[in-house]
Amino acid sequence: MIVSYNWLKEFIDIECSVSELADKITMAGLEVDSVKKIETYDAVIGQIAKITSKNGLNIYKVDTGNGFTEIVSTGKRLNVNDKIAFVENGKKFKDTIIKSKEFGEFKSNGVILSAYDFGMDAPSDEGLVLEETAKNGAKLNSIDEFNDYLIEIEFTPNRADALSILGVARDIKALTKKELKYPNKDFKTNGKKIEDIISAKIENYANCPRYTLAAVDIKVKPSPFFIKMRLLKSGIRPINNIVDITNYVLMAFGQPMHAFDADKIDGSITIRNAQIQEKITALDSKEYELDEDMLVISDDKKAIAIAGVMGGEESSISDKTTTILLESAHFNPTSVRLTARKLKLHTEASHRFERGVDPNLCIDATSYALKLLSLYADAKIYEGIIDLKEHSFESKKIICKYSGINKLLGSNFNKDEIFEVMQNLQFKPQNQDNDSFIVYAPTYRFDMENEADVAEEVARIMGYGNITATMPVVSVSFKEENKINSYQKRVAEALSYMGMFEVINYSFTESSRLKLFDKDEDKFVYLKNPLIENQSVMRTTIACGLMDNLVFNINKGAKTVPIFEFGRVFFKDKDYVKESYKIGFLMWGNTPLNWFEKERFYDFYDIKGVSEAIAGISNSSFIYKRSEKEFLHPKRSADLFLQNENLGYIGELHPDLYEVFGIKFDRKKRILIGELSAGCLIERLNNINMYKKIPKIPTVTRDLAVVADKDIDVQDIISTIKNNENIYSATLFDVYDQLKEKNKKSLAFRLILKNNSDSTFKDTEIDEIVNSVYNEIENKFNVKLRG
Amino acid sequence: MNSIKKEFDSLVKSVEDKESLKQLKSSFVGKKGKITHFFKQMNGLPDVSKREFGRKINELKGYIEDEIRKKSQEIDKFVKQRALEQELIDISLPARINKFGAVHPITKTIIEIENIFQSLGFNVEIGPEIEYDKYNFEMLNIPKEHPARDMQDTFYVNDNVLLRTHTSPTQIRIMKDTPPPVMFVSPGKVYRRDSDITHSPMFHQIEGLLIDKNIRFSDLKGVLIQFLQMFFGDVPVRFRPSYFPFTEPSAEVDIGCIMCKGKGCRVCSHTGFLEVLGCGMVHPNVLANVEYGKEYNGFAFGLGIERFAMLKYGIDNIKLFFENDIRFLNQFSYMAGKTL
Repeated sequence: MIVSYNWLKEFIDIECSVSELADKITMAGLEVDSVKKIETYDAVIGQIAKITSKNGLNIYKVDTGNGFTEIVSTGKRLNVNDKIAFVENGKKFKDTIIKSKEFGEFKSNGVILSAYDFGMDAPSDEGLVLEETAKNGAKLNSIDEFNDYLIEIEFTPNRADALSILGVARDIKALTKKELKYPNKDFKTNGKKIEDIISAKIENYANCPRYTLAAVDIKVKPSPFFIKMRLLKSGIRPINNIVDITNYVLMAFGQPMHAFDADKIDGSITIRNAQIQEKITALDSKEYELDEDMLVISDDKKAIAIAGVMGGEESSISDKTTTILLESAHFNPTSVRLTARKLKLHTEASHRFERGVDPNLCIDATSYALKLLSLYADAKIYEGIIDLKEHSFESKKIICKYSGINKLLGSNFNKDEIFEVMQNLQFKPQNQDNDSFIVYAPTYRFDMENEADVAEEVARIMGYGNITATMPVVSVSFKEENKINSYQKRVAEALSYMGMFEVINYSFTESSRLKLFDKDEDKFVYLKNPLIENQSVMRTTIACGLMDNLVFNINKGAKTVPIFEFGRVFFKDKDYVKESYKIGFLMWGNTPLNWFEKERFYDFYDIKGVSEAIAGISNSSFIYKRSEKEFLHPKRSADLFLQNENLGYIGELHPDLYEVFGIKFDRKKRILIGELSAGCLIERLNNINMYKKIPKIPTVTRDLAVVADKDIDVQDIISTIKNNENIYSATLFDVYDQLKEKNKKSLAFRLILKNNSDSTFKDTEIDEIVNSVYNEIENKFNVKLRG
Repeated sequence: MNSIKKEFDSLVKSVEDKESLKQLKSSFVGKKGKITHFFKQMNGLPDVSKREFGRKINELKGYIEDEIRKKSQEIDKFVKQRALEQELIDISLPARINKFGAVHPITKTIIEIENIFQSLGFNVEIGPEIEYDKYNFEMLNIPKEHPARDMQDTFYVNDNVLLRTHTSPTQIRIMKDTPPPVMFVSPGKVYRRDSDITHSPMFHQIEGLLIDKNIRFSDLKGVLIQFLQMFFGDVPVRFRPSYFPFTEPSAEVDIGCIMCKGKGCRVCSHTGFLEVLGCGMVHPNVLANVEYGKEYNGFAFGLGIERFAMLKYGIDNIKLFFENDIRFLNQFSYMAGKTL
């Protein structure tokens, strides 16, 4: 909400500068987003002396206070004698110097300003007409309304009470201890009685606890300059004096008001629930279909307003209106909120009603409006105000303790200080005993329930800065490490050291993409209200996001993309959702370029390196079995098992899928992808290996080179070798598959022998062991010693 | 004899390698050397002269042998030195280390924040990302139709299940299952139906909760000032009243703008302050909802990880975190400052 500093000063004396004021109220909970001075630059006041219209142009002869000048305008025609703001050629407005402009045969000596030129919500082609008393030739900022600051305040939802000039002034009163200045609300009636013209009843007191109506004969015309200006400053477009006055009272007091054209009302007024599918065309000229949970204001025939939200078009004020019914009511916040939300119709009125409008404000607001109508709409007021309510609206009584407030805040405010704050906030404090006191929260404070609420009032008015920081004394002890959290850190660190980049992707994706990697559609979790279609289903796999990242980076010219993500995936589980953790990883492109290694392309064994590192973090080892996943290359992929549990897969993306992602298949640059369920890896995070004794005698190593059939898995040979009781370890150190025999490969292993006794091996013993190893693998895999 | 010494001196100076030195040695003190030749000449001399002559020759021989030895050492040293010099390498060549890889700046920031709170005695807890409406809103004192729900536009899975809009439901989950006292932080992803230059539909928060006997608003100030100054350095911290349905009193915390040092700039909208987190004393209704006794109270706080990371690293667009451009990620490498 934008608050005019001048308007505010009508409610309370302010002795500090506007920036100090902004700081003060910010620190008391009304957050000031910005303070802007209205700048008028070189604008001066002039008066239209004569108008010549030709070819859609208006050529104004303007009295500049010290002669006349001609200004040409294409905008809406002004009237003779109108006071206007203009800038002469060669003078400055905003960042520009006004330049001479020619309209065919006419030359303009300046420009006439509109409210739009001051950043206000108004048509740009409508010259702003100033007050009649403005002095020709004077600077524009000699007019009070142009010598003002606009204070933009962001209100938290609990502070409905402050959503008006008066509301802000009340906080300033509490802070500065100045008295509020309520505007004069006197008006005179015309002798006729309101009963002669209208009657009203409430059918649903729960949703409309109070409804008041006044009746007035009026004359519709433009509002005076200051009302127009203040509405413009508040972001409201002036319409006519009647509508403007209801809006003016809304901004001043926070009471939404509505004026009906009395001649358009059939019979009496009833506040009732709408009928199913009842329709109304509102002030915005749109038709709304209502339901029976919505409250309407109705005459004998039809709904004439959506209660607390918007009036109807048919009964609205027109140029011909001569008598109005002025509504000032209190509606149930939840009811208004539900209606506004269902209709997607949010107005200044609904905004306030759904947060809470003081039920005791209705008559005051009406009285002020009637006074303004007397002054600016030639009002003749019918005697009496219809005021429907079942009961009066009492202040909430809260019992507090001084010690309780200081204990909660950790403060040392003394009783008098606290008492005074309560007084200044109009909470009418009364001391009970030595420590207890009672406050009566005003009916505009919907946020007051208990001592903690009162403590906050004390703290915000005394200033949060006046509570000295302390460190808590706690009896909590450190519980235990959170394994998921620790695991995530370990994975992130380990894989990044290996040369992988951690990525973070949205948890929602596109179902068509998801289906490429996960056929189990029944388990997908869909969002009811996604922002966009390709973010409508919760991921069950990390792969989609990684593929998106790959495409993004390729398009940005990346040559090397090694990435991983640890995150959650989501599966439908009856009415709820099961969440679990996965680690996904992807490699594509050239290995990192450097001067010491030959550049190559990532292949299956690189991605296997990642899965092995992941196994290592959890002190586990995986079994790799050929995978049959449709999205993977049938001959270059593996399913990974930990004990008997399938944790996931690694492999090359199936060549057919590249196109789906808009990536051209390149035989050399394969996409390697892998994904593992992290649940049991997290569980094994703190698994340790017990220390094994180091043999006292020096290590004996022997190399063994064999030729094997290509389709034999080396893993099987290695585990056979390792099963030999005399072998400590076997390391594959050479693989060569370009032999003359095309279906063969050569393999070389370095064996470390295990000495099961304490004495040194004899050469014959070593030969015996190596031979026995060779014989085993020869028998099992039909390998031959390499010649 | 002097001329021989002079000749030797000049010759030995020009010797540069062991082989020439050996030749030089034999040409003076070898079997056919000049000194040996003198000894042979000595035979024809009278005894007195012989003795005198012999002494001088021996002296010269000794001198030559010494010089040869010295020269030999010199050559050894020179040869070694030259061998080392030939092993010159370019020490400016990049190291033989993998320059790729980085932890995502969000993870990095979460770890840093967790470490600070863990050092202050907080545990770490993790909550689900898909939540019941009950935990995300109702038990946090945000009933259906509460205007505060407007502050957090929500993604729904069904009427009762949603993507959590903040990490606060973890408070409820932990308190429901753990008797007081509790003291933890809880990082994680949160979701809001909002997407523009400054908003991402998914982002990260870290929640903090401390419930014990005798916890005061002043303690909340103490802990958060400590944390913010550990994270951002020695910055001014201010607390100002705000509103969250689940805390009372509530506060918004600002730090002095780290870009302009409080002078006012574009980043802080010329206020000199940056809003960094929300906090407050846990609302009595929330404590009642989890059936904590009246003798317990405490504070809660929540902050956006992206905002902290953006301020700390000077990142100006939240989208960068989720585009995962390698050129962006690489700037957060453990080898920060390296180039791709």
